[in-house]
Amino acid sequence: MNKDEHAPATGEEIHAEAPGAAPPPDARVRASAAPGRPLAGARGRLTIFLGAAPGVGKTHAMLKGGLVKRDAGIDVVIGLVDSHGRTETGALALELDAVPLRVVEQEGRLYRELNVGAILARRPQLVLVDDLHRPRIGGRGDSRRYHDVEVLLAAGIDVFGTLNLQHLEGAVSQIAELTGYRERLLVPDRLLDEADAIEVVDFAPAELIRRFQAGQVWLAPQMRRAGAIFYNRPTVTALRALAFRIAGRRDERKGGVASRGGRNWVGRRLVVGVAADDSAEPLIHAVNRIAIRNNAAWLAVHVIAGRDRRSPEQQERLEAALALARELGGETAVVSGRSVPEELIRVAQTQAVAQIIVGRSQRSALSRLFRSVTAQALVELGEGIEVSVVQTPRRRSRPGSLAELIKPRAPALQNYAIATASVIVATTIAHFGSDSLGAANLMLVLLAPVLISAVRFGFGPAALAAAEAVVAYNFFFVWPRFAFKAPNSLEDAVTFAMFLLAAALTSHFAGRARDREIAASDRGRIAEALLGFSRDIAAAVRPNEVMQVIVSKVDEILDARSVFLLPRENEERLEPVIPEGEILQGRDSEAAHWCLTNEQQTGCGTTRFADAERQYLPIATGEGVLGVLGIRYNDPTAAESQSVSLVTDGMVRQAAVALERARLSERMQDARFLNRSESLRTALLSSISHDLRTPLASIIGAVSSLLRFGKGFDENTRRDLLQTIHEEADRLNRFVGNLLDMTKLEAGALTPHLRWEDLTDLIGAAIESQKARISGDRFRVQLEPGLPMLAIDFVLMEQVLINLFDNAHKNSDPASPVTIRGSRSGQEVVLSIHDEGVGIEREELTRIFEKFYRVRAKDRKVAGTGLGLAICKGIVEAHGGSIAAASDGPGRGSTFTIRLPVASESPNLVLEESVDVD
Amino acid sequence: MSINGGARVLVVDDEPQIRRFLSVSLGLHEYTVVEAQTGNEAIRLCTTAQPDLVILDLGLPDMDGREVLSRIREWSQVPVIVLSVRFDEQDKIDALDRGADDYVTKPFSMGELLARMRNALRHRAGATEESPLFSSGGLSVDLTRRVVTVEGDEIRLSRKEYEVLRTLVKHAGKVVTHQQLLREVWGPAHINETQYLRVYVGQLRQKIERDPTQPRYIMTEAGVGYRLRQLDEINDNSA
Repeated sequence: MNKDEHAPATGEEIHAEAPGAAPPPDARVRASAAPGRPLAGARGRLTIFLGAAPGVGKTHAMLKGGLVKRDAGIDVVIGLVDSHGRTETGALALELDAVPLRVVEQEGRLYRELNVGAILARRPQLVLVDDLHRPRIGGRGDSRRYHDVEVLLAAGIDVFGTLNLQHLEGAVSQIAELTGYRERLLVPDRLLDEADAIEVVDFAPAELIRRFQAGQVWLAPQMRRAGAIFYNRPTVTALRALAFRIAGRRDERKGGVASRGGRNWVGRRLVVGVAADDSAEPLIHAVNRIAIRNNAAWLAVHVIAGRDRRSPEQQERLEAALALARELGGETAVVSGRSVPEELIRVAQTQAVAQIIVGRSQRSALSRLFRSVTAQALVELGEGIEVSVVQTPRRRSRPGSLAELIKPRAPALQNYAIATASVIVATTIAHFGSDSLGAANLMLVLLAPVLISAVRFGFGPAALAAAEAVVAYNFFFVWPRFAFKAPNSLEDAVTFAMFLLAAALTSHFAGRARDREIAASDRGRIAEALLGFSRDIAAAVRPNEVMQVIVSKVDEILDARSVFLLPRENEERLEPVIPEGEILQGRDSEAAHWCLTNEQQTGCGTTRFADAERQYLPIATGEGVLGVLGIRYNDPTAAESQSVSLVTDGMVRQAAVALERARLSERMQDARFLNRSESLRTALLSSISHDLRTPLASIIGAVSSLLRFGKGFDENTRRDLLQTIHEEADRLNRFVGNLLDMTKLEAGALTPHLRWEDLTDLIGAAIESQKARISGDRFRVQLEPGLPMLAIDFVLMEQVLINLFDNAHKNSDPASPVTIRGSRSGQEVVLSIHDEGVGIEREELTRIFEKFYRVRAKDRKVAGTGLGLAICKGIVEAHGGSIAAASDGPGRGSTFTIRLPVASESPNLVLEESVDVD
Repeated sequence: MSINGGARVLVVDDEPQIRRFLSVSLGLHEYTVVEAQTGNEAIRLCTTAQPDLVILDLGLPDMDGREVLSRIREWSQVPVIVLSVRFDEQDKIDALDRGADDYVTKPFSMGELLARMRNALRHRAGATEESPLFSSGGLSVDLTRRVVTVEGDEIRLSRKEYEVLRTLVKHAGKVVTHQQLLREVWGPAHINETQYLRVYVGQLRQKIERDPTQPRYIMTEAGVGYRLRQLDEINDNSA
């Protein structure tokens, strides 16, 4: 990449000293020694991509992160990335610039190692370095790769590095406990503390295990034996949790930014303020959902503001809530301070939190006021921190919530009592004021309890109040006082009639208004409950999770204990699935079966099997009943409530849709997975059986002819047959070799043993080994003079050339030339093999490197194994190189181009002065 | 082929098919064949049958073939040719270090094996090693006069180039490992610096080979070393 574009300071410096073309060497040296950009003193930032186990995709995540940075205009280079032959990772790595590696010799072997000098000279803004724990080859004592990284950081260069959990000193004993494996190559925990950010690379345990079983996880030799212990569900899950915990603890110490998940690597962190009341748990559930949606880590904070007046009950609630938070993967903290908002902001700032969440329950106007005050204060205090308020439903028995729906609203006895009491109060007031109040006013005072009762409790209590008021008036205020007078006149009758009329009218209108209000709030609650239900259910993916959510939400919303039943064995039997082990007795079992077969509600609160303990609701879609939900209400009257049945109807409908969706998606996934593995297996089997059987058939055929009719054949025929046997046996041998190579490549067992090698020598050896099949005259070798020696594995690279020659030979006329060209292009040696054969279709150019991919045979007779090119690709990529195919189209030949990195230093050579022998 | 007449060959391999085809083919070339299935049997037969040459498979049921080799070498200098498989370069080098005379990679052709056997027998007879004049195809090297000619033209070599060629000539027809070459030419301190070999073998080929990308004399043994081809081998090849 163009360094000047991204690093103007360095560029200017160089140009200032050496205007014009390339800087002279001394300028370059000064430029690299002098602080470039970023300025010296500003230490680079270290981001560690932490993997819970080998194979989770650390390198992949790091490369992705690097690409994001590059796209943001940052000058990113690869310092050292080991794709372990994984092509996807290898392909990602190719998208980034790489600083040539240093070739280091140790005990006669060559190794590639991070080239700190070259990176410092190159001055990128960000370097990617794999496997920080590795010993530095050629380094003294216990010198590790992260020591090199420290040099880079000190020079002001940001570094992305990868590390596996098992190498952390602090994790080793826990991992040993989990797996029995104790890693010996450890790094101190301070490495994590010194990092500016930790990215825990998240993964799906099932997928990781599948990859391990498919042999796609590269393990260091000392770990191979332990592999099987690592890669099982509980261990992998525990390791994953451990990684998050370790990263979380470190963040707590440090207040860095962490994120979970490789997808959205730019981390978010949430703080949720938790009160010591029953809103805490629902709030924590809500925040957990938000965190999962946003790939965020979260911290639940309780603030003790001022004097602590918590009751033991509140304390218990708080502790339960914090325990729940930890269980769900959140961090928790209890802090004390002057005010809740101030403390929350302080925590948010020290922990580099982007968002604060507080809850708002619908409990009371007072608490609502408090919440909004908190939220308001947070918004005012926290600059740049997002503040969200989450509506939390109340827990369990929630008076005023759905539980209220269940309560029958028939006028209760106590309403009459209250009405009577209010008349007594009014009478008392009137009594003490009787001297100064006129008779008319006395009447109005006594009317008040009637009106109030009418508004509050409806006509009944109001009518009672009216009667009582008339009696009280008669007794207390009509002369002679304190004695009952006969209703002597029309006056009393009129008073009583007017009171009654007022009570009736008032209660009627007040009642209607109240009914409307109740209906509206009922509808609101029902809608809210259903909305919450659908939200939670939408988050569940697998059928089992969906059923789990159905049961837990139904229990929560309806204050009930429910059971989910699934039909088994052709709907003969209903099995309680959630909670497991539930048993249905007598009537309940009958009710549930009737519900299943007739798709109708049964059980308590319905007309069928009303004596059953539970109400049974069919979870049905157009296609039939998926399951049956049995609800046991804690309040038995709820079963008959109209409002409750509205809620259950809605939930059952949603549950059916969600369950069907989950089942379909699972089935699709299974089908897709089956398809994929099926087609791969088919390809493998067909390839193996074809490639083994074809030559065997020829050999057996030829040999059996010779055995039986050998004498009858003339010399030429016999020779022909023998020739066939020889060639086919050869082919069989090549195929078996390829299969072996592929297996080794996939197991990561093909580690190149690098030595300094000469390209001419390599090409010569490859041609020589194919002379029995391919005439040497076909090869035209054109090598640029002065090509550098390459640090390669001779045997492996020879195999690459042999496979490419073989490919060229099979696809072209036996007399046509095969041209091999070698040249240097920048930091690479480019080697191309060109044939004048059938060529390759454009759409096949990349696919031909896939395992078991064969170019569509058409009418050509080409016996390919579908492995040769895949092996080439694997080997070349293991050397840090690349291979590509090009063709001008069918019939116009094809060219395979290998690019291999040139080592940044040449081999140590002291050549003799040119002295002749004599 | 009558020069091999009567030579006794001990074939050590646990695969009866391999032993059978070897004994038939070798019998046809007038070798007498003794067979052994295990390492212990091989060691015993080495003393009792007094073979002139041993063909030893490295994968034996009872013990490592290299171990057999070491045990034989404790008291016998009988030529040993090792049978090995591809990608076991380290095994081959190991076997050569333990005193094997040569190796053949399975699967091999009979022609290849016979050429190696002839070479090994010739070296043990001590004939060529002392011969001051080596020639192979158009290449001839006069060790006493230190003169190298190709197709009759004298070639000027640097001191190291000549040393490399001389070492190869000394072991003509046999593989010489990188370490062996480096030790003999550059000294034991340099046995890991294969880059020297790449440079000097490259230069040598430029001078003596018609086409250095398709050498006829100095052959590369991938991952192991080099071999100087004998005249008769070159002729064999075309047959």
